[in-house]
Amino acid sequence: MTTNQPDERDLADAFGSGDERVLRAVYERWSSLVYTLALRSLTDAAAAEDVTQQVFVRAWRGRHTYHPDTAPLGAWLVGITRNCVADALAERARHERVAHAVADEERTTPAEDPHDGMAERVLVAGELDRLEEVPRTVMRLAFFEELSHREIAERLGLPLGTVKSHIRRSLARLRTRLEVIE
Amino acid sequence: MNHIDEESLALLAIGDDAPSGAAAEHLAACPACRAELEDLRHVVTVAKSSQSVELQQPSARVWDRIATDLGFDDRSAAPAAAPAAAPAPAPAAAEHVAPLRRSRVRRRTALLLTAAAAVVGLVLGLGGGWYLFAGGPGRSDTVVSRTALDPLPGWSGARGSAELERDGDGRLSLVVDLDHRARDGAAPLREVWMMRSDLSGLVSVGFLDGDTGRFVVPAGVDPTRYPVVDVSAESNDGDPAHSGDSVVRGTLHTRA
Repeated sequence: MTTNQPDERDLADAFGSGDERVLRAVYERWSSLVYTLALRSLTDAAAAEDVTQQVFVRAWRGRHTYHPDTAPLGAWLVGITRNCVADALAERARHERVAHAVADEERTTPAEDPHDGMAERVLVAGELDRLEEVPRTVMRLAFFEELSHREIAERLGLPLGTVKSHIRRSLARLRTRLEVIE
Repeated sequence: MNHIDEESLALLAIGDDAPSGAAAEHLAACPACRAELEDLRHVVTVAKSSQSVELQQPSARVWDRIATDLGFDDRSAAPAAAPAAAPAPAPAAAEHVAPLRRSRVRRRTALLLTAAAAVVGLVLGLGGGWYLFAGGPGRSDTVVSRTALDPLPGWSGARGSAELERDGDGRLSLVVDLDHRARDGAAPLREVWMMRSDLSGLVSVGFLDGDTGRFVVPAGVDPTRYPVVDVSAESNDGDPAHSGDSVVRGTLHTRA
């Protein structure tokens, strides 16, 4: 079931149009992803809010450089988020160096690397949430309780073929959302 | 040598099935299937590690700041603060008309989907088409009009039909028949709507339980003004607005 697919692709296609309402819809769809990612890297709500603001402002100003065919919009926004987080961390490190005027070599780059798997995890968590109820339940049982498709079918009282097809389609969908995040 | 089908790969990736003799042999020999399986396994690994991740919403002031930064006028309609309600042109039965969620963006989506559906409808229409029956007054349950319901993108296996019936007292009912469970097994929650031709307004007539449903067309809803019959897949989230995920759609051509 491709609940959000046409919608999402449509948003991506419309993004370059310059219509403010598109940015609002994009914000509505992805702000929690961007904010959560920033918050996890920066562990500070105010700093994460600043980054969220920067990401959407930067995305909007750079919307002409976005091509829907080369990346899903979510992945593109994650890329911008990483850059903004990296900037924020560099800025923080600079402040810390100033604060600790004495060189402390062990503390030069204490920051968490925003390029680890966190972006993918946050993106997938968001996509899992957005699956329809039945496939979402199926995938949670498969991923988090590590039930086999037979056990899932039994637990939910669904035909085996239905469970298999939910697994296939949901995996394929999660995969397309992860594309281009490297 | 046949490649391993997508479903088997998915089950292998999720760790359910160990590759059987033939599959293991094929995997050993086929870089394409191996790469595919690796990709899917990566998705599974990431997903399994995402359990602890809970997405958090930024405060509503963040949107305000973005809108200010970019010089947008319409700051009041920040999505986090107040879901934007589409100001549909007030139809006769205004109280029944739910706004399409997410305002015009949604509507634009719907329009695109309609355009796609129109193409499908045109193609199917050449073969089957809709039928028009004049409803004679005073007779019971006359079929006033009927349409095939054609699938929207993402629901290619679905099909259905809708009939508008008038009973002896002149009350209208919409009878919807939908077939997509056979292919799909568990059906999502499905809601039946009547919409204006340009999708600028819509009325929910009820939820479809099983494959067939009969719905009373609310008084004041004129099928000539709301000729489009739409069945949407809804999540059970308490949001009364249309999900934007339409399964099938068709247009009743009713004589005024």
